[in-house]
Amino acid sequence: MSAPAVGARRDQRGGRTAPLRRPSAGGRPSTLRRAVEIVLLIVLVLAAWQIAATSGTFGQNSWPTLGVFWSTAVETVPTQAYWVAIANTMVSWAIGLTISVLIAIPVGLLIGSTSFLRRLTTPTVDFMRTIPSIILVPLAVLLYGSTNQMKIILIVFASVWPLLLQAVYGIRAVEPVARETFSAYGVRWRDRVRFLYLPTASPYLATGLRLAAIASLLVAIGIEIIASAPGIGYQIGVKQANGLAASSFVYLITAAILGLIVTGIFTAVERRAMYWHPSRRGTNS
Amino acid sequence: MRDTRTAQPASQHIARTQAGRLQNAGASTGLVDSGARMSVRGVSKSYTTDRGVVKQVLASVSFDVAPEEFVAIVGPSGAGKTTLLRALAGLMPPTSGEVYFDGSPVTAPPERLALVFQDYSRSLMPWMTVEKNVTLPLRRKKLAKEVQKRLSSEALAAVGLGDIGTHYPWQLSGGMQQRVAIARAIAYQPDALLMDEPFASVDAQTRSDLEDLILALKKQYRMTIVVVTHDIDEAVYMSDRVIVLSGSPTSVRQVVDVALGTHRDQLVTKSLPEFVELRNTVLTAVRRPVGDPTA
Repeated sequence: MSAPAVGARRDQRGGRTAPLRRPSAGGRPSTLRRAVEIVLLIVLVLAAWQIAATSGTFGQNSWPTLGVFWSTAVETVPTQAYWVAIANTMVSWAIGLTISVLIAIPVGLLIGSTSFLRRLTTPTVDFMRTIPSIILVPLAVLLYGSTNQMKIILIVFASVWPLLLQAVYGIRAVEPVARETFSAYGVRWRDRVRFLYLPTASPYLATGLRLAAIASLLVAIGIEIIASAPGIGYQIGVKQANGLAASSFVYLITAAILGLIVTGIFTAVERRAMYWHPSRRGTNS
Repeated sequence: MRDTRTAQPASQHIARTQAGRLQNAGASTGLVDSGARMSVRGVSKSYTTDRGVVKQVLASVSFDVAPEEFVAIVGPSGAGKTTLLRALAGLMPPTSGEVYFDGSPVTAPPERLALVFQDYSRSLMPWMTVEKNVTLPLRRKKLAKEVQKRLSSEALAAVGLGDIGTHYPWQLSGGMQQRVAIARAIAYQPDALLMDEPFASVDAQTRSDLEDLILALKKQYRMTIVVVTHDIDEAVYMSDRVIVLSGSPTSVRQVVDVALGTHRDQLVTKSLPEFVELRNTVLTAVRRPVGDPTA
């Protein structure tokens, strides 16, 4: 179901770069044409869905038809259980991401600004970030049970690394001439952080934040399925186990929509953080 | 600090001749010429490369700069011109020797000193508006917001830029960006201004405009100016004295006094026979191969 969104983003990107190469215009697809393409894609996906559901390839009752799905969705969405599941997932996602930001950004900026610390930590960071959060689930469940706390710890483990790495890259992007300008005019260190280090690092941090936000959501839902922690993932798993395929699909689509919203918000944040960046200039003004 | 300068003109000439004599005085005395705004005494600088080779960039450089004097530093490319300027600015401690500003040893960038870099696109912060860039150095002075705003608009007006405080630097042309960098230095109200190849990245027309702008600002604000340049015409046109550096490792090869008066004009000054002669003297000194004993 996320297929239409991917298609739409590709179109957007093509539209943004094309006028740069061909200032005479004509390369940029019109809004109408884009809308038609998106609608067409959605129709195709829905048609494929309906064919897959009715053909019986995936066994009886395992893939609901569009009609069954729709009536189940109308039934499920107004219930309290549905919104509690969303809240459980999103609250632990938000707390986990916030903790990651609070840890990774100061630590990353510190590591990035000291070559000694960078050399010391690089192998460790590279090692740790390749460990998938999911394989730590048994250990975390053993320690904390199937709780939100366990979920948050694993979310932090998944999202702290991209943020940390981006913070390290961000601080290293500070121009020597800019640093010397600040030194020459005796700018105090508090103002250096505020007007030099953070602004230079902000595009990197925004990218890290987007990657971490998406990774956190995937990990949250995955853990809920595996470890039966409360949330959307738990509902997907439990409905599917009880043969309630349509209900399981409602939660599945909900997870996809949440993913889209999170991506949309953090892509916008990233664009905002880069208003001054050479790659963005002129496209907004 | 500013008051002492009003009393300078009479003593200025004396200070300058003293400076000339002190050229090769060396670092051992430890005494500081009280009349000099900046003194460089036996400054040398060596780097250790990644392969462990010690490379000497500066070899015992000494000179003085009198208050309100305009000194141009020229030399063959690869000479440690920028290294020397960074030592003067307190951005880089020399390996040996001392740098003095107003008689006190320089260990950090002096508060009465402003800098203009060649690379305006990097020395101006692209995420800050022109006004924020100009007022950035004023933050340490803890001035009221209105005073900062006033100093900023006065400085922008002085460099010939109008009401552009709300623009971002990258919305301006290269010449205008360098004017903003100069305005930032002016707003800081320094006694001395150091400039590293300030006009090397702008076109020829803008370049001569900016040269005249700096000369006008020097008169208006009574600043001491040291400029590093590879352009010999520019050095002679703008300065009171040209210091010619030798190739690596760098020392002072020759000092040329430029007695062309205080008023300079792109057309008149540059066609004077004295100008042409000075230009040739400096050019000959710059081109002399390393190790040539002829003085």
